[in-house]
Amino acid sequence: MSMTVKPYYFSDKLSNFDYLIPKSIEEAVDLLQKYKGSAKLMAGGTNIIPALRLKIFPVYPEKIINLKGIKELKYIKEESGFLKIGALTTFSEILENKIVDSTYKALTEAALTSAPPQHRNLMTIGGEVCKEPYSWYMWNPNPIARELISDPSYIANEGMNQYLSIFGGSDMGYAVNISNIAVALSALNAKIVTTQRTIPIEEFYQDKMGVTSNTILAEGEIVKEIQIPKPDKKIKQAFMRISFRKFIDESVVSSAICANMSSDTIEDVRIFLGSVDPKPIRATQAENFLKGKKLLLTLLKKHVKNLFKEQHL
Amino acid sequence: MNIIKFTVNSKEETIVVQPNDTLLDVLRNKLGLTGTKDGISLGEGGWDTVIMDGKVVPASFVLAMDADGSNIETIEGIAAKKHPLVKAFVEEEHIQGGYDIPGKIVAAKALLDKNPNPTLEDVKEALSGVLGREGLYPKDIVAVLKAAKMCEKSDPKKLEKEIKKAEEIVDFKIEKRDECAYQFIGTNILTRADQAYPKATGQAKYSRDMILPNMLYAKWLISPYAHAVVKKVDASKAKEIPGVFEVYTWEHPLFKDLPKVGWNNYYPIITNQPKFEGDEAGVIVVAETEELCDKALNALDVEWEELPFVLDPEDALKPDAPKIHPEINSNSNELISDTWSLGDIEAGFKEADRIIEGKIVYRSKLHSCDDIGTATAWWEGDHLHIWIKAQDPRWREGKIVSALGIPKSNLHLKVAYVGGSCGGDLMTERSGTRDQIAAAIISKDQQRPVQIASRNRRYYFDYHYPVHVAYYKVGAKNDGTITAIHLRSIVDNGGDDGGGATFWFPKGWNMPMRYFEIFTKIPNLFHDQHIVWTNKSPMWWARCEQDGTAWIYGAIMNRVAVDLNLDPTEVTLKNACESGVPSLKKAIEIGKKEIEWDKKWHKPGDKLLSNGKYHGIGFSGYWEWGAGAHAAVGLRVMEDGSVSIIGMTPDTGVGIHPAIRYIPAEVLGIDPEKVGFTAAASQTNDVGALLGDIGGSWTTAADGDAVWNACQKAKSIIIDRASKKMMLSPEVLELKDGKVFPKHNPKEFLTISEAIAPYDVFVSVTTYPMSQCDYGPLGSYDCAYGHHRKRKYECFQAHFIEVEVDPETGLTEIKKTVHVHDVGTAMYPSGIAGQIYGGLFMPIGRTLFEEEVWDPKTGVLLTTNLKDYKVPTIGEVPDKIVARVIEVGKGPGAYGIVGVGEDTSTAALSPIGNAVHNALGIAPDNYESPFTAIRLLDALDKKEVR
Repeated sequence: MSMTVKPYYFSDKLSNFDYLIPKSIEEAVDLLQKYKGSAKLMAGGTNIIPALRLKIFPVYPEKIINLKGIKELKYIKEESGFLKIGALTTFSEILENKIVDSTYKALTEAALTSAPPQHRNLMTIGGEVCKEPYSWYMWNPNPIARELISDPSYIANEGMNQYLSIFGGSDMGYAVNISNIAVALSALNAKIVTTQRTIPIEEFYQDKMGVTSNTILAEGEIVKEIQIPKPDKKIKQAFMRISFRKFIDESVVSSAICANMSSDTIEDVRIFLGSVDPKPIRATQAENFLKGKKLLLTLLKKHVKNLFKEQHL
Repeated sequence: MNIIKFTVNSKEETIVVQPNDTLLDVLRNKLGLTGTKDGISLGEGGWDTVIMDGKVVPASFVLAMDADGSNIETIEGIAAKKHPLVKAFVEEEHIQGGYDIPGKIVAAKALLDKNPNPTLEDVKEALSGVLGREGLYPKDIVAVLKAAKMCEKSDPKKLEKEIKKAEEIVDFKIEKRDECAYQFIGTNILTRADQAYPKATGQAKYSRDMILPNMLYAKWLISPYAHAVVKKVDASKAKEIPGVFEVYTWEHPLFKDLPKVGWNNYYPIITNQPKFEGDEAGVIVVAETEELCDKALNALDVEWEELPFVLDPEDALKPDAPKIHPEINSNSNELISDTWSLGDIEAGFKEADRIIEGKIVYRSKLHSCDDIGTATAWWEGDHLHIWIKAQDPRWREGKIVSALGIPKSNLHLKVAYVGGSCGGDLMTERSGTRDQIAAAIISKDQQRPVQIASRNRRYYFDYHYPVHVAYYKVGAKNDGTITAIHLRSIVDNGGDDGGGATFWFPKGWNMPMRYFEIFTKIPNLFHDQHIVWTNKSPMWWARCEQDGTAWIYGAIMNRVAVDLNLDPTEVTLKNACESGVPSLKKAIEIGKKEIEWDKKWHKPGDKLLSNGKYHGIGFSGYWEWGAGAHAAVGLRVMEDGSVSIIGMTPDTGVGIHPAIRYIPAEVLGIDPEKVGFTAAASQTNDVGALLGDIGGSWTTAADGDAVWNACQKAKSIIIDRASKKMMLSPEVLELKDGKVFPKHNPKEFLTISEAIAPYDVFVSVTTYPMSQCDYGPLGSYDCAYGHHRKRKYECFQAHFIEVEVDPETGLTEIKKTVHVHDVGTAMYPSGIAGQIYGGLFMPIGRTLFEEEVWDPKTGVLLTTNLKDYKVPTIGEVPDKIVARVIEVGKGPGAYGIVGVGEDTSTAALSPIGNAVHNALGIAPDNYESPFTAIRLLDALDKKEVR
C-alpha cells in the first residue's frame, strides 16, 4: 500500500505565527472572534509552547494571542465571601500569597506539586484550568500516534497504561486531565468566571472534546477569574497525589478533599480524583459513605478498597 | 519587524526577532551565550534555566518578544560576577560531563537570592526541575549549601547543620592495601578544577554549541512508520524555498554508492528503507537556518510504502514474522543463533538435589544522557575537520575515511566537551558516524561548514538497552552448590546494526551465560542464544549494556538461595570462581556489616512495617569485568622537567586524567601538578603522537598501562642522557624523586631537567589489549581474553540495597544502599566516589520507573519525552549511600587497577530486584523489569488470589 503522509521531522524550533498582544479583555475577545479557528490563546506559555513545538494541533495556529497585556487579570483578593484569583495570576504568586497559604491549603499543595519552580513562575491559574489533557498519544510528535487516541483497544492492559490510570474511556480516548489545580478547585467548589458567564467547576469540563481541549468554553470565550468560596472554620481540606518520581512527574492519581467536620464527625464532604479521567471526577460513593461518620483510620482502612468501585465503569 | 530591547547580564541588547524565536534561540544563536542549553520539547530537562526579572524560567518556553524590557541573567553573567556557587560547584569535585551544571547553578542562584539560609529540602525543591543523568545530586546539594554559607546575609550556623546532613548522604571510604605504597596514587592531590571550571561557568562548548560563522544546517527526514520504504520523493517545492540549498536523497550521486557502516557494516549511510519509527528515511535537506530546514522538509512530497513490522523479540522469531533484513537473512529475523556449552549439562542436572526453573524478562531502557551529540564539518582544502561528541574518536576514523575516500592523515576529528556520555558515545556506529559522514559530504558540496541538526537523537538514536528474555533451568544441591545451568536467551537487537547485542564475538556475546562462565565455577553450562532483529530503535552498548544480563544473573542466584532457604551471600560465595573468593569474601563481610544484614535480612515477604510498607533487603555479587582496550600514548618529558601525556581520552570529567597523571609523577618522582594530559583530537599530525583506542570503563586501566610503559622508556632515556653528562655508566645510576644520581652517592645528583636539557624526551607506546598479554607492574594478567576462571587474582564487589514497597500504591522506595568495590588499586578517590554514588541513579530509574513503551498497533514510540521516560530527579536521592573501596584483588591495569566506570550502575539493578523479591515474597519470574507499580500490584494481586 503506497501513501503520502505529511513529512515527519523533529524540531525544537517553533514554526512561525503572528503574535498578537491585546491590551484589554474586549480586544482579546474581538481578536479571538475575528481569527476563529486559526488562533490560540496564550497565558504563561507552558502549555502552548510545547504544544506548538510538538505540533499537536491538527492545524498549526496562524495567530497566537497572548493575554499578558491585560494587566487587570493578575490579582488575588477576598471579596464578598470568595477568594478571587485573576486568570493571569501565576502559580508562584499563588504560593507566595499569605491568604491562600493560611486558608486554602489544598490549593497551595496542588500548585506546589504541579511543576518545578521554573515552570511555576510562568504557569497561570487561568491557563491551567484550560490546559489540554495529556496522553502518550496526544503529545506524541508523530501524527500517526495522535490518530489513535480515541481507540478503546488501548486501555490499560499488560502494563501499557501504567503511567496514566484511567477509570473510564470517553470520546477522547485515554487522555486525562493532569491538572492538580483542577482537582483542588473542584473539591473547594470553585467557580470559573468567563467573559460570558460564571460556571461551577464541575460543569466546566466535558467528556466530549473539541480538537484538543475539553472545556465547555465557547469560541471567543475567555476565562477571567477563579472564585473559591471562603471555607468556614469547620472545613478541613487536603490535597495528595501519587507520582512515580517525587518531582516533575504528572500525578498517577491525585485527590483533593474538602470536609465539613464537627469535632471528628464528617458532616459533609467533597472528594475529587484527578489524572484518571478527561476531567476531575467526583468520588460520590466515597462521599456518601463518609457522611455522618466519625473519621477513624481503622474505618477507612477497612472500607477504602470498596469506596471507589463504582468509578470503574 | 520586531525589535526587542533587554538587558542580558547587565548589558543592554537590541535585537531583531521573529515571533517564533524563543529567548533560548536568541541567547544561543544571536548572542552566542551557549552556556544555556536546550531544554528539550516539554522543558523537562531544565538545562535552559535562566533568571528573568529575578525569577527562574525555562528559556525555551519564553518567546523572545516577551523578553522585551526584561532583565536576564544567564550562567555567563552569574559566573562573571564570581558568584560563590561557581566556586562551590567546582570545589565539590563532582562535576562530570557538566551539561546540567549551568542549569543547576542558575536555579540555585535564584533560590539563594530569595532564601539565604535554605534547608536541604529547599535545595532539592529548587533544583527539582534540572535533570542530571550522571546522578551527582547528593553533591549538588552540598555545593549549593556551601555556596549559601559563602554568601553575605547567611547564617553560617544554620547552614552548617544542613551541610552536615547533606554530606552524610554519601559515606565514602577507602580501605587501602598498604597505606605507604605510593606517594600520589590514592590521593586527591590533583583536582578536576581545570576541567570543571569551564563547565560551571558555561564556557565549555559541547558539540551542539559549535555554531560556526557562515554555517549551514542539515536535517534528516524521519520515518513515521515502524517499517517502510520511501518509494518516491518530490523535492521541487522544497528547493524553491529561498535559503534552502539542496535536498539530498538516497539516489543522489554523492550518496548513492557509499560503503555501508554499522558494527557489522550492514547498513547504508543513507537508505530509503527505515527499520523503525523515527529512523532516518533517505532524505537530508540543507538550508541557511534550522527553521528553513523544517520548511523544506514540510514541503516534500513523499510516497511511502508501509510494511508489516514486529516489536517483540519472541514474536520476531516466529516463522510468519515480517522479515526485517531480508538482504542479510531472508529466512528469519535472527542475526545470530548459536549454542555454547561447558561440561555436561545433563550430568549436571542428575547430580542436583533440586531443579529450579523460571523466566526473567528485562524490558527496554533508554540511555538518555543530557547532551545529545551532533556533527559539524568543514573543509580546509583536502583536509576535513569535524566537531563531534565522542568518547572514542579513534573508532570512527576508519569508517569516515573509507566512506569519503580520503587518507586518514587528512581527517581531523575534534572532540567537543562531552556533556555526559556514560559510554553512549562509544561506537555509536551507525548514527553518529552517519551524521559525521553526511555532514562532511554536504560541507564539501556546499563549500560551507555544515551542522546536522538531529533532534531525534535522544529517543531514537540514543543507546537502547536490549530487551532480554531468559528461560532458565538450574540444578542445585541442597547446600547451595549449583551443578548446572541451562539458559535459552532471546536478545533484541532492534532494527539496526548497532553492535549492542553482537559485540565481542562474531557468534554473539554469549550473554547472560558469560556471567556464569566467567565469574562462577559452575561446571556444567549450556546456552541456547538468539539475537533478533525487531522494528525498534537500535540497541547499542553504553553504561550499561549489561544491565539485563546482570539482572538475570543476580535474579537466578537469589532465586536459588530463596528456594533452598539459604543466605544469598553464601550461595554466591560458594559458587564464585576461586580467583575471586578472597576479594568477594572481604566485600561481602564489609557490606553485610554496613547494611546490618544479619539483623535486617529476613524471609521473603515476611516483614510488614508499621507504616504499612513491606521491608526488603537484597544482595548481589559483582565483579570488574573490563579488560579489553588497547591504548597508545605519547609522553613528552620537557627540558624543564615537566611532563605532558598525549592521549586519546577526551575529557568526560570522571577523573581519568588525574588518575593517569599520577603515573609519571610516581615513576619519575615529580610533582603531579607538573604532569599534564592533552586529550588529542584524532589526528596524528596534529599532535605528533601515536594514538589508540580507549575503552569506556577500561580507559584508566588501558591508558594507565600505556603511560606506565612509556614512563619506563622515558626513564631509561633520562638516565642515559644523565650518564653522558655525569660521565658515568647508566648501570650505576638511579632515578628517584626527580633526581638522577649514582647509587653509591645520592648527594651528587642531576635533576631531570639538568639531565636532559636543552632537549625534550619523547616516547610513545602502543599496547595491545592487555588481556592478551602479561601486563602491568602488578597486574599479572596471565590469561586468555576474559577467562577469569584462570586468572590469579580477581576484583569482586558486593552490593546491598534496602527498600520499602508500598502494597497500596506498588511504589518502591530505596532507603539505603551499600556498595563495596574491590578496585585493585584506588588511583583517584574523588573520581571513584562519583562513579559509585552517581552510578547508582541509573539503576534506581531503570528498576523502578524507566521504561520505553511502543504502541503495539503502529510501532510508534510512546515515551518520547523525559516526563514519560522517567530518569531519576533530585527527589530520588536515597537516605544513605555507603561506598567502600577495598584493595584485595588485582586487576589488569598498571598498579593492578580495574575500571569502575559502570560497575555500580550495572550491578545495583540486581540488589534492588532482589530486595523487591525479599519484600514481597514473590520471585521476579512473576513481574518483568522494570518493577513498576502496576507490575508489583499485579503480582501482589495474584499472590492474594493464590
